[in-house]
Amino acid sequence: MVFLQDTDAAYLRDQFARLLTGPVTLRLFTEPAGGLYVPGRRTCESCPEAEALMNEVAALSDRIHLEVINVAAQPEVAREWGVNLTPTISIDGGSDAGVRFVGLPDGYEFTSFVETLVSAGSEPGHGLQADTVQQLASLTGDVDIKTFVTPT
Amino acid sequence: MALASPRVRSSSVEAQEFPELASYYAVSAVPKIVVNDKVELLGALPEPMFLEAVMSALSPGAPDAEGDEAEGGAAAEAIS
Repeated sequence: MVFLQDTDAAYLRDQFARLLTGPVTLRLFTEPAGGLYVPGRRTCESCPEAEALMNEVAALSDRIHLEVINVAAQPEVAREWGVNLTPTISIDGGSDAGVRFVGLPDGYEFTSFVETLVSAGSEPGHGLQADTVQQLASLTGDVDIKTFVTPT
Repeated sequence: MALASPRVRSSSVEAQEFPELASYYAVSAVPKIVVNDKVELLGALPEPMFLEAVMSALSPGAPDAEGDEAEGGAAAEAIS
């Protein structure tokens, strides 16, 4: 483990073993460094870190599956998932849940990331109050929520 | 909410990594939440209040979020 300390890794392995009751798929949309430099195009500096971190997380449980998508090589997959920024990580427990982490989920964001992962892989799949779930079921349009965060 | 409803999608955006997007949405403090590019919330809210914000974003007549279309339009599209 490079990103996760041994004690953290052991804690997460235990948590995942106890809490995950179903499969979770992490899809990392990445753009590996190297290749052609295109002026004006942003290089994805945190992509290698994101991939290493996801590999470490996925190694902690058999229920976590990691799929790495190189958006330069598979732009059609990125389009299908509505991903235009890298790194983006999608978390779902089967079908696309519409949950994305854009940027490296570092620092405090890693906690949110793990909580979301556990929610996606357990029942009922969310931590919402019954009333909220009921109201969400009556939504008549699509809702897009962007939450801006920093790692600190 | 995204996990609970197929109608909801949620993106957590690292503001420092994507400054152009943070600037477009005038992120001055975190967490800042933007619902359907219309309703803006600063800070963590109790669940019922957040739900209310989500519902109000779907009601007609909600004002558009501030933002410089010319400058940040592309950045905004990049994630929507």
